[in-house]
Formats: sequence, C-alpha cells, structure tokens
Amino acid sequence: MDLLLIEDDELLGRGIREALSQDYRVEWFRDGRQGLAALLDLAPDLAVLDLGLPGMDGLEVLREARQKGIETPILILTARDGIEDRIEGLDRGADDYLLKPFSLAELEARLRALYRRARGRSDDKLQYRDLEIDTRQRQVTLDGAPLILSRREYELLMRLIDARGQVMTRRKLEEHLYGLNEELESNALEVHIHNLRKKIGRDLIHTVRGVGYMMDRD
Amino acid sequence: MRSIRRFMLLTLLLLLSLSAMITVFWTYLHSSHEVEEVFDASLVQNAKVLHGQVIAYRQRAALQELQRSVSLERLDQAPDDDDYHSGNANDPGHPYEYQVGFQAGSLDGELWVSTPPDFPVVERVEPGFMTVGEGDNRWRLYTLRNPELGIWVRSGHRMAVRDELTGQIAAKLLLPIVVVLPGLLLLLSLGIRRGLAPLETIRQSLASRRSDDLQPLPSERLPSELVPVVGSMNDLFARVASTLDRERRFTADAAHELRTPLAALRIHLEKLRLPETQSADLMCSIDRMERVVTQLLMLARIEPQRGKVPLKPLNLSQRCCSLVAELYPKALERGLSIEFEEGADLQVAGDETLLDILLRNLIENAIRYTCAEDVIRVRLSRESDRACIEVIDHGRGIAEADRQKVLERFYREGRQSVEGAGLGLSIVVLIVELHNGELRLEETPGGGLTVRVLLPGI
Repeated sequence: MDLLLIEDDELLGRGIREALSQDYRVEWFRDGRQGLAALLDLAPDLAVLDLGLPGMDGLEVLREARQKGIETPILILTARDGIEDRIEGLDRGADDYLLKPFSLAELEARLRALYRRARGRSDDKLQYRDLEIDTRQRQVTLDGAPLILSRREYELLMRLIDARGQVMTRRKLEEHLYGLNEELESNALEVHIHNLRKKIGRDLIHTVRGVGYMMDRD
Repeated sequence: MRSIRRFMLLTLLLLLSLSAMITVFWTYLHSSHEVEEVFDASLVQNAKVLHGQVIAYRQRAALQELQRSVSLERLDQAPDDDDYHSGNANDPGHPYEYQVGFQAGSLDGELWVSTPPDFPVVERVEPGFMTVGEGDNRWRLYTLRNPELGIWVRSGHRMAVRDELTGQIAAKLLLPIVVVLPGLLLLLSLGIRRGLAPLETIRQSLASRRSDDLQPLPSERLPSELVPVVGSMNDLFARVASTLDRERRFTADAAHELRTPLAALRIHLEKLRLPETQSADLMCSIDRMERVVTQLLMLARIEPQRGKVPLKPLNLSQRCCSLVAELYPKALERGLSIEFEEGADLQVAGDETLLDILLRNLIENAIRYTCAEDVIRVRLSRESDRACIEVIDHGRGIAEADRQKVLERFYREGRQSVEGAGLGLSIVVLIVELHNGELRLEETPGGGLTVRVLLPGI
C-alpha cells in the first residue's frame, strides 16, 4: 500500500516513516509544493499531511489537491488544537485529523480506518475476537456457529465494532438505529443490547452508566 | 485620608475669614480714629461756645440762672431713641443728655456751672484733652483756660458714647460678612466639586473596571491638568497589555513548537517496541510533557478571552455525556470506570469549547488521582437556579488546608507521585470565573475529592 507522507520535521518524519514502513510503502516529502506534486503524480492510497509546512501551507495543499479531483484519503497532522482549525481542515476536504503529539497505535488505527472507509467494506470479512462478520452477506458467526441477528441488532453490533475502543453514547446509537425523527420507547436500546448480549456473549459490550456502550479495542 | 476637596474648602474658608477679619479690624481702627477726631472737635467747639456764654453771664446771678436752666429735671418718662428720632422735637430732654456735659468755674476754685450731676470733678485745671474715670464713668474732657479773666470751661462726654458708635460701625461691617459666609461656603463647595468632577469621573471608571481590563481611559474633554496624568496611565496600560500579550504569545508559540518534537519522541519510542518495563517510565514522562504543553496552550488561549467570551445557551447534559464517553477509554486503561448521573436536562449559558476543557480537566484529574478499580462519578443536578456539576472520586483527596493553594497555578501539593502539572485546576478556576460560576472543593464522604462547579442556569 502506498502512503505519502508530507512532513517537514526531520525527526518526526523519520519516525513516522520507519514506524509505518512495515505495513506501507512510504514516500516522504518535506515541502508543501513537492508534496502536492507527488499527491497528483503518484496517486497514493493514503496521505499524511502536516499543516505547518515550508513552501506551501498544508491547508493550501489540501485545497488544491481536492480542487484537482484527488480523492486520496488524507489524514492531517496538526499542532493546533483550536476547534476552528479542525473545522477548517475538515471543510477543505481532510478525512481525519490527528493532534500532535499522538501515539503510534492511534496513527495506525486511523490510517486503517481511513483506508477501510475509502475502499468500502464490500469485500471485507471482519474479525473481532471470536466473532467473524461477513459484511456483504451481513452474516455473523461466533466460533464458526452462525448467529441470527435482527436488522437492528446487526446495525448496533457493527456500529459498536466500528467504534471499538470508544464509547458510543445512547443518543448516537439511537440516532443510528432509528434516525432523528422516530419516537421510540425509552428502553428500546436496552432491549436490543440485552438481546445482542444473549447472542454474542455477555462480556463483549461494556455498559458505561449514564452514557452508553462500548466494545474494547481488538 | 486626605481629600483635595476638603483641603481646598478649608484653606479657602480660612483665607476668606482671615481677610474678612482684617478688613473689619482695620475699618474699626480707622473709623474709631475718625470718630474720635470728630468727637474731640465737637468737644473743643462746645468748650468755646460755653466759654463765650460764661463770659456773657459773668455776673453771679446770671451764672446761677445758667446753672438752673441746664439742671432742669428731665421728663419723668424719658423718651427713648426711637421716639426722639421720630421727631418729638419739643421734648425738653433726651436720653443722651446725661452722656454729655460741661462745667465752668473760676480759677480760684469756684465751680459755677456743672451738668449733668455726675460730671467728673477735676481739681487741676489743665488746658487740653484728658480722659478720666473708670468703666461706665469714663469721660473725655476738654478744658479751656482763660487766665486773663480767671475762668475755665470744660466740656466732656462719656467714652461709652463713642465706644457705642465705633462698636456699631464694626458690627454693621461684620454683619454682611457673617450672613454671606455660609452662602459663600456653599457656593465654594459646589464650585470645587464641579472643578474636581473630571477626577471623580476617572475614579469611577477605574473603580468599575475589571482588574484585568487594560483598555485605555477616555481622554477627550479632560481639563489640561489631567491630560498628562491620564496619558501616562494609558501608556502604562498599553505597555502592560502588550507585555501580557507578548507573554501569552510566547507561551502559545513555545507550546506549539514543543508538540512536534514531542510527537517525534513518542513515535521513535513506540517504534522501538520496548517491553513495558523498560518503556513505562519514558512513556510516563512523555505523557506528562504532553499534558503540560496542552495545558499551557489552554491557558494561553483562555486568558486573553477574559471578560469577552460570548456565552450561549448550551445543553450541559449533552456535553457531560460526550466528555464522559470520550474519556471513558482512558479510565478503562487505568482499571477505572466512570458513571454519569444526569439529574435533569440542564441548560446553561456558556462557551462550549471552554466548558469542554473544564469538564475534561476535572475528569482527567479524577482519573489521575484515583486508584484502580474505583468508580468516578460525574453528577449533574439543579441547585435552585444554578446548574451543579460534581466530579466525585475516591482518591486521596486534598487536605482542607491545601484546597485554596491547589487552585493556584503550578501548585502540586503532595500528589507528585502521580504525574500531573498542577495547571489543571487553575484552568478550571479561570473557566469558572469566565462563566460567573463558583468552584468548591469538598471531601467525598468516605475519602476522596468532590469538585463541585456551580454555573448560572437559564
């Protein structure tokens, strides 16, 4: 998989390149203009773009690339955590952003998620603990034994697995399952979670009291 | 305390009274001198007229007649001053008759004529003026001596008459001053107040501003004496503001600059994939540096906003819920869990970014200072018309004596064993202030710290 890294800091750039070189073929540019050119020419699968760059500002690179129709998923690295910066970055077509300093695991996870999202899940077989999920067939097996899940239970499970390691608030889950407009029973979500737990096992889904639910990272 | 107004008023009052007194005293002296001259002149004239009369009445019988006519009994009911002035000119007497008098006699020692009865008798006949007697009976006398004819005449009046006149003159002079002075004082006081009004305006505008407000004072329409003062103050404000600004920018820049090398440090360390035992301390240090940098940036961002954060209605319950959701994995890593108790759907007037920082700081603090397998509780409730956020942990808590100090920047109390920069709570204090809220540190029943933030509700 080709990954384009545009980062002017020598130490950080080298660190990222070396860390990622096991899973990706990393091309590294230190200058915004060269980075943009590479983005246009090499058409990499993923790009990691620093915002503070010599030659051409990161946001500028992003804007021009998107203008020229480049659809490569781009992850932005920024030292600024102002909300305005974040919104501006996402507006200009960044797919995700990561605030410096970040952990390697976080970077890898985000890149994986970006790539998966970009490719779509159509051909994916997903593995989570003892669960195997065929996202095309919407088939879930536990230790090889097929499970029969209702549509909502399946949606719920996929949402939690997608966001594994993060807490999904009840509100978000309800919105996901029912949309914004639907009136629903106050304990509808609990009922689904209860049923889901009965099928996939009690321990996979944690309850966060007063907030929502989560599944552990892999 | 010294007051310019009081000082000016007192000084002016003293000066005015002094000058009034000098005027009155001087006029009194001068007029009494003039009065004496006039009175003395009239004594001389009276004596001369009498002298002529005495020569004309030289025969003994005629002199007795003269004595009889001047000794006529006054009316039993003596008219007073007013009646006299109102024109009872036919009355044969006047109350002042006993105030003036004359004598005539021979140089042999014979006294021919004397009126009024208590006219002082002076044996020695010396020509010219003299003053005799005591108290009410002091007389001013003028003696005329005619050795050729062997006679003398003496006219005189009581000193009380002239004293009364000069006294009256002085009193009439003093009266307007005494009457006018209070009025003058009032006008002066108003005038001074009016004159000092610009000072008062400056005082009020200084008193009503926040301690961190460095806006210049208005300098238009100032009296010329105050222009340089206000000018220097505004210069000072500007200098302080720019120094503060530079300091904040420096903090922000420094923190930003630190983030990239920190990120590099972390990546290189993680890349080594060292066993937990070797990397834990290093990771811990990096975590701590990262947190300090983040908090410094927060402070740098919040401080310039003091007093000008637009507060908008926002759903506090939702913010709490999503912050707990966000931080839950962190708690989980440390073997802790967080529970969110939502009392009601609470709305407050606030700034979302700042309230997120506040909640994040409180919850992260609780995570950091709580031992494993504990539950941190985030509770939201309504307290009369305010929203109350409580973050309750069962960690070591903070001794009552230290609670105030903990809120000061960089203070770390005895908690050093667990990493922490001590900036967290001072950031919380700042944000609470910006929201006109209240922060309380309390002890959790059974041990631990309960942080209670009260925000004005809507």
